[in-house]
Amino acid sequence: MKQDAAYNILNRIRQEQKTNPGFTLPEGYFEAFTDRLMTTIKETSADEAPLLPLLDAAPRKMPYSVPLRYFTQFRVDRGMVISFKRGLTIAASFILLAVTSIFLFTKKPQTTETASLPAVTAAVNRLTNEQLERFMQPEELPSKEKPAVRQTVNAQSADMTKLFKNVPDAELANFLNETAEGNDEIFLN
Amino acid sequence: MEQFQSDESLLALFRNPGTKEAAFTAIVNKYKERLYWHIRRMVIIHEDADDVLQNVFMKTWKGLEQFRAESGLYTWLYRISTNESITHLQNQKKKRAAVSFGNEQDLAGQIRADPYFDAKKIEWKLQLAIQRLPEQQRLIFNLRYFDEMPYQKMSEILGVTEGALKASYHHAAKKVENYLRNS
Repeated sequence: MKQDAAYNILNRIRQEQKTNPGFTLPEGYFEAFTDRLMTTIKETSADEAPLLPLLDAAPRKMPYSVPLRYFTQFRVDRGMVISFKRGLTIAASFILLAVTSIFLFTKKPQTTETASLPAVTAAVNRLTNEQLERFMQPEELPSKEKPAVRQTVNAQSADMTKLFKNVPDAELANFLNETAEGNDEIFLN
Repeated sequence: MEQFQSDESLLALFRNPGTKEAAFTAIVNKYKERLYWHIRRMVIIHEDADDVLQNVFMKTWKGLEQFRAESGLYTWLYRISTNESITHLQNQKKKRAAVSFGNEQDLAGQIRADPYFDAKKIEWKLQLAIQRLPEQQRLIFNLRYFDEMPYQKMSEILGVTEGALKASYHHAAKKVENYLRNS
């Protein structure tokens, strides 16, 4: 029912339009349409594209130069993972590191020595003779065999010095002659 | 192996161990000049461009077997070159961070230091003007103006929409034009 009603309305409108169209067109509208459209398109394009007379006149060639035969001699070095510049930087870093290491390892002990030597010298200079003697001939040594022997030898040599101090030179010479002869005999036997 | 072979056939040859080296050499010969100029326009100095170009082809050699050919080889190589150039410039910028002037001014300084630099010639003025652009605009301008690359291709390389690329190029072109007019 509804479809029939709609059909009837549309049919009546069509009939009325046939007898009295109602719309009017300017004269020569369709004849001029294409020209007007093209003019509009041209104007729009001109708006979109900026007027760039200087840029349009500029040559598009590159002013930069390239080394002679660069492109003919160009080869891709597939073994070279690192670029030349980067390689140089890395090499320079390694050299710097090596030089620094050598400097540190060789120089550091020297600086320690030179720094500590004057300190030790000054400390030794502050010691009295007695302190030094005590250091050279310690009174109490641990009862180990070797230091004990050394102590005995040192003590003996100290005693001998004291003993010989009061002996006249002539007697000492005679004594030495006698003992030397004795030693020769022993040696010869 | 001639360099006018199609990318598809070169890729097929590259995947064959027997022709891999020859295919790679053909790819290098086919694209080295185009990529060099693309890189050179970004990094300015020849030695830097050579280093970047070497890196690009090193990465190509290592990554080409995994290349799925979803984009063209040409697009892929341009993308690597662009990324390598930007990385190079960023590294340079970091190195020069201690110095008060910025990278753009420094690149302009490098242009002026070129032995063939002539301040009166328009092509040199144009290069100086380009160095005043922000990095992204400079890249877009170079690709469009010198390489005459279609926006669709640029979009694939840079991952930026075509609309944004067009707007960016027009801004850059206007700035360059103003610089040329006032210099």
